[in-house]
Amino acid sequence: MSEGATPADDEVLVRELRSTLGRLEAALSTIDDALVITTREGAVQWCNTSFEQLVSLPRLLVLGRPLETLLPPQDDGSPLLPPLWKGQEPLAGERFTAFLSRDPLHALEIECETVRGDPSRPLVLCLRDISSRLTQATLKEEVERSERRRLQVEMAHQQLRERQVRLAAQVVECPVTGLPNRRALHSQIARSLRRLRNSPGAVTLLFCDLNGFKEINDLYGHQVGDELLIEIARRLQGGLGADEVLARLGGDEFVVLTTAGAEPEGEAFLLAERLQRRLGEPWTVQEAVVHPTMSVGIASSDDPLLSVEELVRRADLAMYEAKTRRGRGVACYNEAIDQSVRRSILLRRRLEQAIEQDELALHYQRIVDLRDGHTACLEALVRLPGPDDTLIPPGDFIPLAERTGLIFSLGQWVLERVLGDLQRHGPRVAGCRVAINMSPLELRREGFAAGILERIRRRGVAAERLVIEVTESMLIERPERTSRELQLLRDAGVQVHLDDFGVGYSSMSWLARLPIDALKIDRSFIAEENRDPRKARVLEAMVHLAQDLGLEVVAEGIETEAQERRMRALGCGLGQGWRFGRPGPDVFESLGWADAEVSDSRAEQA
Amino acid sequence: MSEIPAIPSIDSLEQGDRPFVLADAMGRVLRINPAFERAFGWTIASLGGQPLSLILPEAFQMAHQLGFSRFQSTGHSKILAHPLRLATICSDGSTIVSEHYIVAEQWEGEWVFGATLTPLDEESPMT
Repeated sequence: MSEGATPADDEVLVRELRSTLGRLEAALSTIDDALVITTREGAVQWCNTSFEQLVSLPRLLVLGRPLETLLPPQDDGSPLLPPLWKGQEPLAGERFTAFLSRDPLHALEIECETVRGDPSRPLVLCLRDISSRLTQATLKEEVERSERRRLQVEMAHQQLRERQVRLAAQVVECPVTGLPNRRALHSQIARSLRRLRNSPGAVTLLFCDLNGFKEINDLYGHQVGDELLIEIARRLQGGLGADEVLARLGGDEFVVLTTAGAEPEGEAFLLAERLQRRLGEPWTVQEAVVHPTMSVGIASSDDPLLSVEELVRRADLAMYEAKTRRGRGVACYNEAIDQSVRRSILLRRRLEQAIEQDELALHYQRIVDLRDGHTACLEALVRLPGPDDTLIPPGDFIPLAERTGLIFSLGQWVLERVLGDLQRHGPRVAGCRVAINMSPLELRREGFAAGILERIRRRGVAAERLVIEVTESMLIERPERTSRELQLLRDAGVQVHLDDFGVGYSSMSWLARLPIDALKIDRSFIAEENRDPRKARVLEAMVHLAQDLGLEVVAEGIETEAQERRMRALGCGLGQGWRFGRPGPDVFESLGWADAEVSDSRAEQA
Repeated sequence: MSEIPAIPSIDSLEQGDRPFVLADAMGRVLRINPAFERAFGWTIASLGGQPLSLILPEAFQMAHQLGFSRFQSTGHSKILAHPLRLATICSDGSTIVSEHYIVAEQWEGEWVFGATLTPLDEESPMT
């Protein structure tokens, strides 16, 4: 009680104060700004109605709780409020903008004050919705602040990356094999080239690339792949002299650096063959036996001014050339290789573009029934248009497609186009089949037969209209799996023809077990039959054997009337060659009605 | 159609068997019943004439004073005549979660406030 005042006076004063406070409290509940009073530690002591709405909680559930646990986060997930105290000083007098959402814009301006006269230092916060009056300048400032934050983070990342690069630059050893890595090899080559200034000689590189390493990785996993790399490193290292350096560039690429020899390329060639022999020893993995092989490119130089990169590039190009060669798989660099590789790169680009942009062309060649001359089948032959309306020979681009994996896209393109043509023209030429050549790589692919049958089903084409042509080598490499896939196709009605028969290594007894419907006898037998009596005997034997096995026989490469007569006399049922027409883009489309009638009547007789 | 239940009078609250407290317009405690004494440990000798805020947790006191003032100034309150789960401070300083039910009446032109404070299982959430 104040001095001189009576209890009644105090009561009047309290009533007046209460009345004032009550009106203020009521007034504060009507404003849009969210107000909250907290203790020094941030526990809520009072709030107005707008604050209750902001946090979606009634006041009784807010009182006593820490403020930071009540407020929603900003749109970027960061807390709405910074820490309320900086050391001993409150965040008083600060004003900052927070974004609850950017689209639609929901921004709050937050002001914080402290009640300085109160020793308990409560905090008063005002959270004002400024979404509707946020100026362009504020937004710009906010964008700039975000940009500054982003740059800071990016700079930190950049510094981290640079540190990683600096650390990586110190590593000179392959972590898998323990051999010198690319960096160490470059230093060694550079040193060897520098030495040529004072002591003439040559620096020679053998660029070794394992064949089929990816398949091993895919089949057995990377751990087995790494084990193989270690074994390869051991085998190669064991075949080298003390002055020769073996390095692993990465993946399945190894390089041998040698400076020995008066005939550097010749000696390197012999070294490559020796290393290939060492490498080819069987290696057992998970009960399977692998015979590793590699292609080797050799590049040699006596020029001390040649750059390291150029010498490695030449060896790499030679290796690329070696990969395309059958047999030994060793090639020495020369300028022709440079041009050949460049041509290959251009050809690959052209093929990719033609597949992507549907620029390939499909030609058909007739296969006729030698008994009545009607068209029994068409062989689909893909053509790659080159510059100036020329056609790039299949012999150039098919091997490249197989080396680069483009064969799968190419095969799918051909199959889709053939099925489309069968849909369009098939009903008019009932009985006429269409033959497609399959690459060994396609045949080895998981689900090969199922994929073809699914496409046939989707197109609504009769499976009996399709013929798959395969070569002997495909059947020899993986006979069981290949036979199983082909049998699936045959069960559905697709015919299988064995292409280029006679030039491979098939044994006659083995022929009886193959899941095939016809033999296509290689053109070389037809071409030389009247000049080479031994070939003529073999041809006769092949035809009779096929007949005995119940197989249809197709004679390829018939060019003359005499050849046609001879093949007919031998008992070949079908023939193909220029005598009956060259492959062309319109052959299927223009297949005559008369031909179709012949074919229909034949089908009926059958 | 269900009827809105009538607000019980302060008399009826006081005559019930729940802990009861009566306060005047100034927020001073006028009476408590024996059930209140048993539940919270206070006696009329220790609580009579004292501010009602003595039995409220510190975090609620500012809001209580302002809400109390606002009611007297505007006649508007959000907390009267419906159950509230709140903490109640006992005479020994401990806290008991209880259901507060507060009714206001004018007696001879002055507001008086009667409330029952029923202790709850402590697991019950406060609302």
